[in-house]
Order: sequence, then C-alpha cells, then structure tokens
Amino acid sequence: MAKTMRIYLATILLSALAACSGGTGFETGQTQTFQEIRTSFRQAIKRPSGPRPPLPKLSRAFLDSLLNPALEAVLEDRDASAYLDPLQIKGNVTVWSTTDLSQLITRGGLVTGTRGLGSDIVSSSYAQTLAALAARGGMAQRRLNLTNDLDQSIQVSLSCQIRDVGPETLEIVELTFSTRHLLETCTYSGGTIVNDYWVDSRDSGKIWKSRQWLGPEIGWIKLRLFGR
Amino acid sequence: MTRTLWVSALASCVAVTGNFAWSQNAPLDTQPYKAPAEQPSLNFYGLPGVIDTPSALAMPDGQLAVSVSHFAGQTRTSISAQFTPRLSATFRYIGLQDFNDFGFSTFRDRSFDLRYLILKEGKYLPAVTVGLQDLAGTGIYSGEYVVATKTFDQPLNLPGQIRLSGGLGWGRLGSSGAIGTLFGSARPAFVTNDTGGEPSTDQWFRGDVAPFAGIEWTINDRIGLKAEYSSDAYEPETSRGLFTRDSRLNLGVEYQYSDRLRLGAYYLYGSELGVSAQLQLNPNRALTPRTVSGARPIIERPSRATNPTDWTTDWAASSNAPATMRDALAPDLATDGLRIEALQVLPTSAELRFTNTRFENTSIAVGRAARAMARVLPASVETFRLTPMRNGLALSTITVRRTDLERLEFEPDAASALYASAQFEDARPTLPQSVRPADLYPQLSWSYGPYVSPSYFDPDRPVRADAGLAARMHYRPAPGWLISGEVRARLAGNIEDGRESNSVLPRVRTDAALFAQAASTPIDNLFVSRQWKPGRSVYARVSAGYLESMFGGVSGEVLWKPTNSRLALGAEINYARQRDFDQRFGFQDYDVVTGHISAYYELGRGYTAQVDVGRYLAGDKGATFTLSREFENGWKIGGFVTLTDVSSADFGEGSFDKGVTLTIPLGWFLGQPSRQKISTTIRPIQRDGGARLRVPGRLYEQVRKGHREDLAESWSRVWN
Repeated sequence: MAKTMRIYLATILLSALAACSGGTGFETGQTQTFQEIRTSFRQAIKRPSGPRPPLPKLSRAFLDSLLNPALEAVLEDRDASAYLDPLQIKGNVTVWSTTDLSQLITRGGLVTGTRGLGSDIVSSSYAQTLAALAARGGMAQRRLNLTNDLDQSIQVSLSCQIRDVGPETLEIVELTFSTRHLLETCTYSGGTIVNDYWVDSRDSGKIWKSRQWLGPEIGWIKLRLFGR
Repeated sequence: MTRTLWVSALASCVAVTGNFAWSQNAPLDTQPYKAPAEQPSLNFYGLPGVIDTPSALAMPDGQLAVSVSHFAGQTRTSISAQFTPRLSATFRYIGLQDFNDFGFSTFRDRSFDLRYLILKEGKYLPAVTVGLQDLAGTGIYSGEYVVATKTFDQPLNLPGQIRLSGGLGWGRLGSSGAIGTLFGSARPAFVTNDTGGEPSTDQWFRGDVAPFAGIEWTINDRIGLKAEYSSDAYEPETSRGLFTRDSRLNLGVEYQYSDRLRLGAYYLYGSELGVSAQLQLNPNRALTPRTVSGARPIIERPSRATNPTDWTTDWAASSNAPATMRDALAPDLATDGLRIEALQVLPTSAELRFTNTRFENTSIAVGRAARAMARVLPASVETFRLTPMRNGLALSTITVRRTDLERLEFEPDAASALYASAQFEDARPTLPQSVRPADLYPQLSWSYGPYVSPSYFDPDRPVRADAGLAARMHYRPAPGWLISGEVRARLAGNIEDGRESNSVLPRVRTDAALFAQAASTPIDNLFVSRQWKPGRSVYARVSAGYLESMFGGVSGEVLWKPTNSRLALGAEINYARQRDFDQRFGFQDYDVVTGHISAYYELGRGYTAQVDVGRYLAGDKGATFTLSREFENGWKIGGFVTLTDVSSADFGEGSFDKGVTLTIPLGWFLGQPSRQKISTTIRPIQRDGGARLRVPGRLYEQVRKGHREDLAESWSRVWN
C-alpha cells in the first residue's frame, strides 16, 4: 500500500513539474499530453471565476461612430453574453463574430448558422421562415443541421407557425423603434419551442430584437441589433 | 473448440450494427435528432441492475461505466461498455478478503460478462435482456439470466418513476430458491485454481433455475430507492465464513451526485452494509463541451463578367508565382495549426499538401485549408486539390470546386452538398512541379516530462505502475524519415515487485518484473524508420533499432489501402531479439522471426474489424481477431482475442491472450481541439503466448484517418 501511495505522490509531483517541449516538428505522446493538460489548467486558473462581468454599457453616440451595426447576444442557458461585429456581409447574409471567432450567421435577422458554440448549427433551411416573417404570419418548415460532440451530423426538423401578437415599441440604447411582435411556435421530435421576433413595423426585413432557439444543446439566444 | 465462441461473440457484435453494404458514393449519414437516452443505474456487478441482481435496461450507446462496490469483505471493480445499442460487455476485477487458505489471504479474480438487449422497452412490452455473467471458465460469479424490466412514470400519483424488474437466473443466480431445471441439470461447481479463460458453453443455462425480482423508485433527479429479492445463495462465501446470509431481501438508497457520478448505500442479505460508486461517461457528451471556433471567411472572387482582368492567367508566366503563393499561404494555414508540405499551382487548378497538427477531425483541416486557398490564390484557379499528409505520407486527395465553396457556404445542407460535389481519390506518392517551404526539413522536436506506465490485473494486485521522467527526441531529416528515441528515469514504481515468471514458453512478455528490477534509467526505444508510398494506394515502412522496451530488431511493412476502399490488406515481417534487462544497448540470446498478414475492414459507423494471421514473439503461430469502434472525436474502444497453437496448459492462466483497448482523446477532457490521446490496453493477464512485437508507427492507423470513410463520418465540420 505504501508503495502504491508513493507512486501516486510521485506522479502528482511530476505532473506539477515543468513538462516541456520544443523544436520544429509536431509529435504526439505522453509528455506532450501532460504538457497540454498543464497549459489548459493554467488557462483555466487565469480565467476569472465567479459571476461574469456584465457587458460594458454602450452609448448611442458610440454606436453611431461605428461603420457597421453591432449585435448583442445573450446565451440564456450559459450565462454568456457578447457583442458581435460583422465579419462578412453577403447579400442578406451576415457573419457576426466575436474577437475569438465565435460566430452567428444570420439571414435577414434569422440565425441560420453558428460556429464555436459547441453543438453548432452547420446550416439550416430558411426560405419558408423568412417568407412567413415577411408576411407577419403563416406556416413554415425549417430544418437545422447540427453537429454534436462526436462531429456527427444531426438533423432537427421543425414545423412552425408564425403569428403576429401586436405592435410593441422597443427602446434600444436611447432610440425607440415601433415593431410588430411575432411569435413562432415550432414542434420537433423533442417537444415544442417558441421563438420571438420584434420586426420593424415599416421594414419587415429588419429584426431589431429576437429570442431564437439554436437547438437542444445550445438552447435560446437573445439578440438585439444596434443600428439605425 | 470453445475458443471459436470468443470469435463468434465478437463477430455477433457486427451483425447488429446495421447495413454494411460496400458503397462508393453513399450520401452523407445524417441522423434525426433524438433526445439523449436515460442512463440506468448500476448494480454491484457494474451493469444495469437493482442491487445484486440485473435489470434489462441498456446503457446509452457508447457509454462507458466504471463502478466500485463493496460489502462483506468483497470489492468488485467493473468496467462496462455499451459496444452497440444492444450489446454490452463488462470486465470485472474482484478481491475477496479472507477467502483463500482457510481465511488468510485475499482471493483475486477477473471475470467477463456479455449482455444483449433482445427487446427494447415499448409502450406495453418490457425491455428484455439475456446475460452471461463470468462466462469463461468455472468462475466464481458464473451465472446466466434472462430479465425483463418495465418503467412506469408517476404510477399511482407517486412522484418520479418506478421500474420493476424480474427474471430467471442460472448458476450463481439460480442458487437460492430454485424452481427446477430447464435445460439439463449437470453443472460443475466453482473451482478456485482453474486456468479459466475459456467460454464454458457446456454449463450455460444448465442446472437449477431460480426467479429474482427488484424494484427501483427514482423519486427525483437525485434520490433513488431500491429493493430486491435475490436468488444468489452466496454459497462459496458463506461456507468460508465471510458473512452469514440471513435474508434474500436487499435494500438500498442511491444519490445522483452529478450527471456522471452516483453513490449508493445498502443493507444486504439481512446482515451486511454495502456501498457503491458508479461513474458513467459517454463519448457523445464531452467532459468539456467541444467547441471549434469559427473559420475566417471565404473571400468570394469578383464576377468574371464585370472584372475580366482579375481572371487572367498571365500570372502563371512568372516563374516565382508559385513560391509567392506558398509564402502567402504558409502563415494563413499556420493560424489553424496546418503546415504546408507542398504546393502545385497551375493556371486553373492547384494542389495543396499539408500536415494537420491541431484537429483530431481531418474534415475541419480540409475545410480550413480550402478557405486559405480561396483567400490567397488567383481568381482563375477554380479546382482545389487538398491532400492531408501524415508523417510524410500523402493520405488522399479531395478535389473541390472553388465555385462550390463560394456558393454553398450559407445554403441549407451545405455539408452534404459539398460532399456530393467533392471527389475523393488516392494521392499521388509525390507531387510534381511543386514548391515546398525551404525550411520544412530537417525537423527536430524534443520533450521531457513525467511518464506513467501502468500494468493491470496481475494475480496479486489490480494495478501496478512505474512513474518517472521521460525525455523524447524526434528527428525528421527528410520526408518520411524518422530517428526517434526515449530515455526514462524511473523514480517510483512497483512493477518490479511482480511475480516471477512461471511460463513454459520463451519469456517474451512475462519477464516485466526482471526488466523493471534491472533498469532504473532505461532507453525505452531508439530507432530509425522510413515510410513512403511505392504506389498511389500502397504504403511501406522499414524500421530498425531498439523498437520497444523488450525487443530490438528490424521491421518491414507494406499496406494496401485505397482511399475509397473499406478493405485494407497488409503484411509485416520482423526480426526481433530480446533486449538486456537493463534496457541499454545489449541483447539476450532469444531471437525470433515474427510477422503477420493482416486484413482490415471498415464496417461503417466507426466499427473496424481486423484479422492478423502469422507467427508471434514466442514462435507460436495463429491469428488475432480485433473488433473496435472509434467515435469521430477520437474515442476508441475495442476488443481482441488471439488464438495460437500454444495449448491452454502451456499458455497458463487465462488459456489464451485477449484484452480490450481504450483510447480517449485529450480534446474530450479539455474541450479544445487537440491531437493528443490517452490510450491503454487492458488484458486480464499478460502471458507469453500470442504476444506481438510492439512496432512503433504501424501504417494502418496513420493512413486510415484521412481516407474517405473517415472523412465522411466527420464531414459536418468541414464548414467549421
């Protein structure tokens, strides 16, 4: 028993020692594994613990100084929030990105893809949903192609109904917007989910605020668009 | 003759995994979403069950469960794996205090179970499972059962869930309260010092049969109550005075400490208190959720109609254009952990050869490399040929159209659309007219740090280990060449205290204790190797030196594996000589020519079957059968059996060589991309029969990743 204890102690001590590697080649092996574990723990220790600090408050003057609109995103289940900038704009597709390349891909304000969030939406169909949002009501089928921790392709098929629940006035950083509040109720093999969209009352292509479901693993994301 | 049953047991795993038709252009496999399966609680044997009796539930597919239970001086440590949705296997190591020699020493034994879910639980029908417990030899736990389980949600307005299980047991599970016999009555009794290891088909489902039953009430997410009626008389234990069995009723309470860990306390057989801890892991649900940060965008080319000058091929006339593009690509690829090996640019097509140092998933690397090409190469280059490489071997060439990259990225079904338009073919051995980075070779890398070298389940102790410091060096003077060495300084360990070998065969593996005693700073390995491609789908390797800790010699291997083929064939021949116990430069007298002809077949969904036929280290001839399942994130679990012309008596304990291998990728723990892995091979016992030379850098595993079957299974990340 004493000997076994000694092995464990020695192992713990050794792991704490500086495992180290260098050179120009790439190799895999036990020492490299120990080193990656150590680096990862170091990073984890450096990361601030406790409740995450809230996002800095933005003023309208600051937002007006930006070349592009910005997006505020809050992941409900993860206590995570971020501001995102457009990394790429192609037609009505915008790739929004944080500085560490976590990304949301939107099409006319509808999230059609995610990157760097875990069980990401690789791609999704959008045509019927965008049409129903523009018409402020209707039925829409939507298919999300997700990837899981095994990098397998998982498909979620949503059958949705969109309806208009009335006008609402929003305030987003010192500006007010008159919107229609649209509800999207969808059923899929795992149950029922409800999304909210606050669409500009004059320009149905502009979603100022929304709460959208990104699949069974990520859950809901709340979005606010900072623009004019 | 019964050995063939091991093989058929392994082969039966294959039958249940679905359709394995040979397909050249199968569509990408997309599964509809299913809510995560519930994980059942485990019993004292480490398999789904009540307390000491089994239930019919299966664990979620791929699940790995480790459990420890203890009562009345007996400790059972079990590892269970749900190998397919219906088939699971359990390996168990037990210690019974005061069992041997009239109560003076601890009896240790290993046992192996298989369970098969015959019927999945339906709305009205229960789940039904048949199980073989301690199925090899006249083991102390040997028994068989058929059990049914039905789940009731909130019955009688009670909160939570109630599960009822009931079944029939034979052997140990039919030793108390028997109601007769069904399939014959002869059943040999348990013998302590049997060699064991062979399936005891002559006794399965023979002898007395007895009913057992159990109830589990899961009150809420945390607390569960259990009660059961056991049909186990515990005759070997009670007759040796380990405990008195006053009742056949067992009671318990369990607490779900976290998603993965469950703890339990029990009152067993009217006289004993017991405890258990159950840890369940699933490759599907990483310890840290897996995130791969987004890629940088594909920059779309300007329209050819409006910007014809951007599309000219005049640049191709410049002789240093390829070198300029190589220098622009290299830093772009480096941000994704990719290293350029060679680049060939022609006016309308280009081939990029690269090594991936970051992503376990080759599809991610292919996608990132394609994006980099789209950012850097002139507009006229429309055809991208991407060739992932590993240690100098070109694995396969994936051809994509640049237009498809630009057009499909944000479209529905982007991954399957790109897969459908991509081509997969064997890579040429070398790339003509290519430019390479000037500073690519030689490459030197070194590392030092701790090492742990475990050995499991010898007759005296469940785990032995050596630990210390290791220094490793890899020098690659040119593509495919490797000079590698590792020196260790052992600081602590108890492998040297292992039993002295009693083997009647050449002691090719059982002298581990002698090696450990003689060497405090061993040279673990020191060798030179070269690997190359003699043809488009043929790979070759030659290695020489101190190949592993116990043997040195020369090794040659050839592998045929076309990228679109699920079948691979290989041949390996080695001359090996046993190294001195001090593991420096000397050799002992024993030498052998050993080698195998191998066939590998990818069954689909990550299952691979392998057969190796040939001559083993101790000079015995035979075959090894391996079935493994690899998940796309790098988790791998497999089992193997080796049958050779060595008799059971000559082989010694265990009768023949067998074991399981487990590989867990580091990224699964850390949540970040990594190519490092933690691997281990667990044998019930290491003997000298059926032992293979441990040659570093065997070809198949290097080559398979990066071939079409592997890429297809992880293709959903190609856009990541």
